[in-house]
Amino acid sequence: MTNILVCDDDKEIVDAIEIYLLQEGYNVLKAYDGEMAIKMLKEHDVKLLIMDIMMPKLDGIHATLKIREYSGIPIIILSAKSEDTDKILGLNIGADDYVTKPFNPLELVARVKSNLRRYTTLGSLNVDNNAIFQVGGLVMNDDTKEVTVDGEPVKLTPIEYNILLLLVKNAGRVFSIDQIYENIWNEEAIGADNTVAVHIRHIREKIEINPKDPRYLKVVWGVGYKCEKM
Amino acid sequence: MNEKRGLHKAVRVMLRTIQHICFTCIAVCCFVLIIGTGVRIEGLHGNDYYNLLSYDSGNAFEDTVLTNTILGKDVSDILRYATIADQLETDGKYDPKKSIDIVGYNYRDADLPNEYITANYYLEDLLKWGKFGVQTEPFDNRYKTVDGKTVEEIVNTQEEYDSMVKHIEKASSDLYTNYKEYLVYKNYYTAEKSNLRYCIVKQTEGATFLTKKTTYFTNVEGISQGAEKPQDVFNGLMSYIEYCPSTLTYNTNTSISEQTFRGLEMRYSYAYPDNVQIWIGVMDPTETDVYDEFSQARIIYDRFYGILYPCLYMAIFSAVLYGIILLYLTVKEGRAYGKNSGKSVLSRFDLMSTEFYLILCAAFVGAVGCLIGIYGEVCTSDFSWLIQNLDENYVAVGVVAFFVDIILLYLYYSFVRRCKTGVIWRNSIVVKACSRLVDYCKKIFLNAPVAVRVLVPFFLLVFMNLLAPIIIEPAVTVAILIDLLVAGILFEEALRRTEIVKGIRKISDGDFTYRADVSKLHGSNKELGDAVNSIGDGIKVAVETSMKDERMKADLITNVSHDIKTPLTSIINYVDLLKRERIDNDKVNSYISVLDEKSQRLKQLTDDLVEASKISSGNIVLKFEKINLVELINQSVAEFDDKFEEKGLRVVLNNRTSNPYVYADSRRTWRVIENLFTNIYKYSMEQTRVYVDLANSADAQRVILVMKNISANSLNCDPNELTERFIRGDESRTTEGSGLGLSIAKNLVEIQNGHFEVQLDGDLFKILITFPVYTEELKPGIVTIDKQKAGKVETAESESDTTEEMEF
Repeated sequence: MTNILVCDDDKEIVDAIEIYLLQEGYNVLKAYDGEMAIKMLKEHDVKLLIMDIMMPKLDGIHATLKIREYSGIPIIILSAKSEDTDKILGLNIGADDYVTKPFNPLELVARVKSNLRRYTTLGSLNVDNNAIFQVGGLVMNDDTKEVTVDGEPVKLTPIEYNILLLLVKNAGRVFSIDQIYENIWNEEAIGADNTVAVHIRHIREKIEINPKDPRYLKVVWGVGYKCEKM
Repeated sequence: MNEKRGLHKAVRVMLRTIQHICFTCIAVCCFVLIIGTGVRIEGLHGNDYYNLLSYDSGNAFEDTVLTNTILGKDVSDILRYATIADQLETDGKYDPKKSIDIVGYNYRDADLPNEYITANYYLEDLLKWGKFGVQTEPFDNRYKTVDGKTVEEIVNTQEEYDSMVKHIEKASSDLYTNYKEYLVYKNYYTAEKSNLRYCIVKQTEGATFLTKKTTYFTNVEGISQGAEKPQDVFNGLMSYIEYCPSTLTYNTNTSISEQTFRGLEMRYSYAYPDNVQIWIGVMDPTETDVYDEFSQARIIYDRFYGILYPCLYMAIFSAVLYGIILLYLTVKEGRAYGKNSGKSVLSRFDLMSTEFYLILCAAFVGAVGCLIGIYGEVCTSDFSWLIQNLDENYVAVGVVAFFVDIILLYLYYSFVRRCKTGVIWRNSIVVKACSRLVDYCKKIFLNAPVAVRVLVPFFLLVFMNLLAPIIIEPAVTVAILIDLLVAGILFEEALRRTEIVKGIRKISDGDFTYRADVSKLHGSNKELGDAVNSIGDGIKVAVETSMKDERMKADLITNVSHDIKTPLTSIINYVDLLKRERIDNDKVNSYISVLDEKSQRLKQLTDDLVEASKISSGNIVLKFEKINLVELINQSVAEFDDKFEEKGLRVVLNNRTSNPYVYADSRRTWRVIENLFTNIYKYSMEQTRVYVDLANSADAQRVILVMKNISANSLNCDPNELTERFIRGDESRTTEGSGLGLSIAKNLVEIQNGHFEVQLDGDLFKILITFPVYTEELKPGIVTIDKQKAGKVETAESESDTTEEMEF
């Protein structure tokens, strides 16, 4: 049984999360403030931590900082603070993911799974093959035309696959719709069209846990699309 | 030394006392110099008065005017004395039996008539007759000549008789007068009683033609006895005069010129033949113990020159010391000593009115003037009294001067204190009255109606201009000058008014911190300036208050929504759990779905609320960059592809732009488009087309985005109201949506310097958005939107800003 520690000063939220995680077959440990979380982390073999920021005694940010001094377990911050700056802060001090309240329980569970996979089974993946491209948990094998996200296989159409491959190969670079079109269809783009954009939305829906807050395939509004370099 | 610090009272009193003493010294010294040099000398003719100061400074005694004046008098006396003596004496002795030819005597200084009758009388007879007077009628025989003849016996006619009687009368009276003088001179100019030495040597014909007889008229014993020569005697004297007309000799060491001497001698020329030799000299009075004019003069000379320089130096020294102390005390006066150091100190006297003070000063000056005048009068009218009581007068002058100085300095220092504190001006009854009057006039004038204020001076000016040429020429000049002055004042006023107008314009343009400079304004302009400034203040306060309120509201909404989120999370989660319970009861399931739907709306509403309040309060950071609006629309349409399909909405994109690049924050712009598409998705009639037109404005400065769709419900509201917060097309608010979408979109467009407009034409719902096109001058950067300074680009790099925030 995989131990997951859930820490929030709101008992009902912790209980709800417990219900979802139990359904997925995880064992849930509960804490209600930062100090308690740190204490329980030491006492139990915890594989993942879900933690609120605003808590009594020790808040989530300080707790994360302390935990990161000795532990590398995945930490998902669960906070009502939805500002960009809050997210950036949380991720920078060592959290692996940031989910804002109110959250979709299924999304949270998906993120828990994803983080666990990365931490347990995919952590030491070594890519030697030239035909394999990886960005974070997204792996593309050009030989087999297989795509996996955190180990889970994803089914893509050929056009979607080519678009994703283009972006993953050039991770970090922004492609405009016209550039993508010219690369994939090998013809000159005549006028703006949203065909490519629709394809990309579809890809995003397939590979992202929350397509509105994508991790890999990001929209650069008014410019184009890019795959985040990780 | 600190100028502001005062002096200790004791020091001040001491310095003042020194001043009084100095003043006393000056007064006494001056008095001594002026009055004390007056001298009285008792001489043969009574008392003579001299004033030494005016002439004799620096001269030796024998060269002083005093000595020379006395000598001159004496010379005159001696010449007369010798003449008289010649008439009365024989061989140096008074000779009563001397025979006098009366006609010859009477004509002694004139030529004798050609024919005349004369008679000789004895000197004593003539003197006797002179003393008692000559009885002319009846002429008895008392008057007998030397031969014993009577007058009748001599004369032949009555005329001759009358003439003879007159001669007798004149000669006897002259001789008697001379005889009296002779006695005085003889008594005075003796060697024992006088320092004067004289010697008159005459060569007279002797018994025979060849034997010449030399007569000496002298008071020098040695000479009369023939033992000494006059030259030797007189050349050794302090002063001497040697006169000998026959050899043209005139030697002297005095300041009496030959001309003066000759003038004196000429009066008695009959008595001094050409061969006469005259020596007159003065013994040094210090070497003799004779008391005469010279010895008196010498005593006075010694006394005067003994005190002249000490007095003078004393006076100068005192004056300098007085001046220095005066200066020092003037600087220090009126400053307190010790604790209150630096503060001004005024006595009760200083606080009395300036006029009273001035009257006192005038009275004091008058009194001192009178005192000096009366005293001067007394001194000049009775000089001998002054000379006799000199010491008492010194003391009196000193004492009076001391007290005069006390009053003088008291008044002076009061003046200094008054000046330093400005009391002299403030406490003046006249000044007070004037300023009262001016205030009163001002009050009347300022409270007068505008008509009076403007028209009265105007008509005065006109009247003066019309009247001036009628009167006189200079009045025209005055009128022109006044006109020019008025022109200047009007120009100045207009200039100031321009300043105020500038201020008003600035404030109306939004620069609420601008303040008109009212320091140079006056009158109505000042009022105007003050009013403008207070309006500016008011607006500034109002703007600040509203900004603060807006921000507080935003903070409140943020905090409240944050607090709402936590329980909302539980609600959403437990509703979801309920949904999973596979309840068979349809009723319960429908309840749960309502709960689910409403909790989701609540979530959306909370997020929108925070965003809307943030944008409208300006509490937002913008990251401006170059974005392709056409690309963005394409991307957005792709995002909404599913949703639109679901409702049968078809997007018709019409791109006519030549330059689709705009300068905006890409994520915010996406938010705008997202909100608008969501709006279209929610409120559009199903199975209709949505038109999205993109074009450049005519001046190519802006990109215009137009979205058109057909509303499902009829919209009976004002299009502008739709962009207000919480206004929705359906008043019943049954559909989902927070009612904030359009409001957020509009605010986001406007803070990016864009323009947002909603148009309604029947069911056609039209949104017009314009953005400024991207130009090279616009650099990408982060902008903190603050309503007061909208649009200012911070030059800070976009990255550095975020990293700073990330550091913990």
